[in-house]
Amino acid sequence: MRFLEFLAALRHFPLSPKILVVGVLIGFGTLCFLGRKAAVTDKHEGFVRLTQWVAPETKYYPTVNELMSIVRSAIKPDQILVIVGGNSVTRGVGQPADKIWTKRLQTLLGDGYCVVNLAFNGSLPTDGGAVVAEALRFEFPRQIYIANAAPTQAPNPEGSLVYRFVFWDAWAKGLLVTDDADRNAMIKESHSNPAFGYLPGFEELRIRNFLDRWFYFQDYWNDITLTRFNTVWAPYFPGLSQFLRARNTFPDPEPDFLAMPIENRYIPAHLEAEMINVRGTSVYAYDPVKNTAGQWNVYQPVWDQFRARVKGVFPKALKKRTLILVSHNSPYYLNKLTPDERERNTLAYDLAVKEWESAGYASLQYGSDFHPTQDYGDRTHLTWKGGEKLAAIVATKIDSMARELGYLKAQSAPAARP
Amino acid sequence: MIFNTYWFVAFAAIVVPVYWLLQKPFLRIPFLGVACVIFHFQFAGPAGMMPVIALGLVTYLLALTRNPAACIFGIILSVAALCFYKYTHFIVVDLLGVFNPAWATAAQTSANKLLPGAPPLAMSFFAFEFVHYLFEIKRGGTPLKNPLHFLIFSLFFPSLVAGPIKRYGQFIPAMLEGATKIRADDLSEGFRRIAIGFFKKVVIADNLTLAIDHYVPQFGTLDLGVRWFVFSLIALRILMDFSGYSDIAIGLARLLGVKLPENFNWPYAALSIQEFWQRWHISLSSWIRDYVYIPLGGNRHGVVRKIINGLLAFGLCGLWHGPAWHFVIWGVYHGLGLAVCSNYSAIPKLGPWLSALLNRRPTICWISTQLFVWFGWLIFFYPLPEALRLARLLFNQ
Repeated sequence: MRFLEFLAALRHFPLSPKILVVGVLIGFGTLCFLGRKAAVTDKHEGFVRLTQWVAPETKYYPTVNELMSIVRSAIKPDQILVIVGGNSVTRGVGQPADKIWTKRLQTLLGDGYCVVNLAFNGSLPTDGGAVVAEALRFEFPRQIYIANAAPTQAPNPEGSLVYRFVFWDAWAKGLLVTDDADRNAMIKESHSNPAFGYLPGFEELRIRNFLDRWFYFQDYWNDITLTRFNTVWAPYFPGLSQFLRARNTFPDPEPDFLAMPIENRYIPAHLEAEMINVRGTSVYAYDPVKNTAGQWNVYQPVWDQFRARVKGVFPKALKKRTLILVSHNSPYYLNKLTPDERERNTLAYDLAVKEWESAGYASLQYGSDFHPTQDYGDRTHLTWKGGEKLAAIVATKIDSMARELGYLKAQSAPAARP
Repeated sequence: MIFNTYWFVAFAAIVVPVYWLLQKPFLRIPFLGVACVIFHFQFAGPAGMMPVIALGLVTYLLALTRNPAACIFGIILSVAALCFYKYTHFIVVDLLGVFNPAWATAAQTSANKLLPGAPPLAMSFFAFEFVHYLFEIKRGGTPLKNPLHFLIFSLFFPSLVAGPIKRYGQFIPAMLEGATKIRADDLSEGFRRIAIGFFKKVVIADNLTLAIDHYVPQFGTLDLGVRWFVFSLIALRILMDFSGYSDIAIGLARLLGVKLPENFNWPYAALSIQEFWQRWHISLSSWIRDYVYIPLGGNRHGVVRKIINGLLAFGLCGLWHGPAWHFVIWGVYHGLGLAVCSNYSAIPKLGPWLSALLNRRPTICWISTQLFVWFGWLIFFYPLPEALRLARLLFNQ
């Protein structure tokens, strides 16, 4: 009772406005300080990949500072940084954390490299990991960025609508290349065209990022929700009350495709729909029928647009260190294509790789010779066995890229930021 | 929700301290007026502002005449504007369409050429406040001569989007007092209410919305206990959402030294439907009482007329929430509940016995009131067949 009386008395305690305002300012300043501290401290202990608990699927929006801190705590001095971006395929959906392909890649590359998987589900090559790599270009100049894409899939320079918050967060903090004319023109174009849907909500995003640049509220709250308690519910959380747990107490929930019955992975009822997707990777890129000489003619508008976007989607200076993996669909489905469709599919992949390379990137395709069900978990995702094959292909490519880029010549200190 | 946009946070973070620093009323009042216009422009846009400015100007000028006929004309104009912008589609398609679909289609085509894509922001609140203002002037109240005062009354940004619905007789003195002096109490109470409001809205209501949207489509597959739990979450969600918004509005106004009327007072503690409506969205229910129910005759012309007046008033109350039948049905449902609640004791034999029982057992009153209100939320949120399906599932395995 005494305590309640004390509280009641406190409510009527004469408080001068100045003291109150000073108190509010001190409290606010303290929170900003804690946010700033959280921004440079990695709280993702034992990080393997961005699980659903730290991704927008569960209403969690990692900041660029947070993602950079993951990299900083993973890398050792003199290691070459390999950041993996891309989508659920490179994120390793269907591969348990201890068998994920990027762990295998790390093993194959050895101690000279540090592989960090920053891929998000359903993201574009320019999302998440791409932004972090660009933001760390001065701190870790010996870096290689890897992402995957489908043929003729032309990404937006600021990333997808879901994940563009990372790009604009980094942009507001002055971490990105801002004077790349091609990229800036593409951003302007995507914002001026309502069909892209990039404008709604953009003003809010810009204001948020401007405020966060000074106050670090997103870093602070991410820290709380990651290590103390979570406040936002999402359907992925088990039960109605589990969502209150700190996010880093949830284990990586990725199942093992190879432990799942094949009919759950290649669902017979979905065959037709999946075949439409498989044909879709090349059907729009070529004329509807072969020409009189029995060859597929490219449908030029698609490739012109692809070429134009690939040209400016990454800053010029960062193209050479970017490896684009053009991912095949599972041979389970490829083998069901007609010979003509299969030929068109192969042409589309070959041409996509060529276009990426012509624009100054490194590129390779993978998967068409993989085992349909042992290496592929479903139409697009690899099993850990397929992941091992991918890691081997990528490791070889990275090694040659590192040589070409001069990374292996000297173990120099990080370059000074201009 | 406008209050949890970054634009609004930045806006409030500039406006409130500047308002404090200005200190003199002759500086604070014009500054507040400008801030209100900027806020309205940001969220309503020029197209959304124009009808409100025109209606406000007409209301202001008509009130200055103090002519009852002019005030009645202004009231009709406000109601017509509300009907036009918010209810045209409902009137044409849902009402006229029942009788003659061909006419409804033709009228809809014509209306689409005149109507904007969406009704002007907070049109219902503007219309209700203008009607109240003109009604009071017609009754002999003093009109606001200072156009700036009228502008701030109309566009006061903390209460613009979701109320509370203001009364000018209370608001203007409170606004002038706030412009003269802001007390430490105002600031501490303002911050407290804002914090509580954001907690209710962002932490509780928004999470409940996500959970409800996830669980309701699979309602039939849930265990019976979980269904009742989700059912209670629906009731909790609307209270937290709406009262949270009101708390933020009241808290923001308090930071400017202005005391707005309370809008919620523990409505789920009510022991009867009457009491519920004295505790739920108080500014709306008192507006309906003062400007619809009482002018219709209230309870002055016998039981039957009282019930009809109540049904009409609550039907309109439902319709105010949105142009759809399920809102009307929700209003009528409460009107019926109120009619039963206030008249059951007059039923021979059964009435006095029931009345005595309920007086002895307030728990029964509470449970029956809350169940009535909570089932009402199903009608409020879902089309009637879906609401009935969900209600049935609460009693079937």
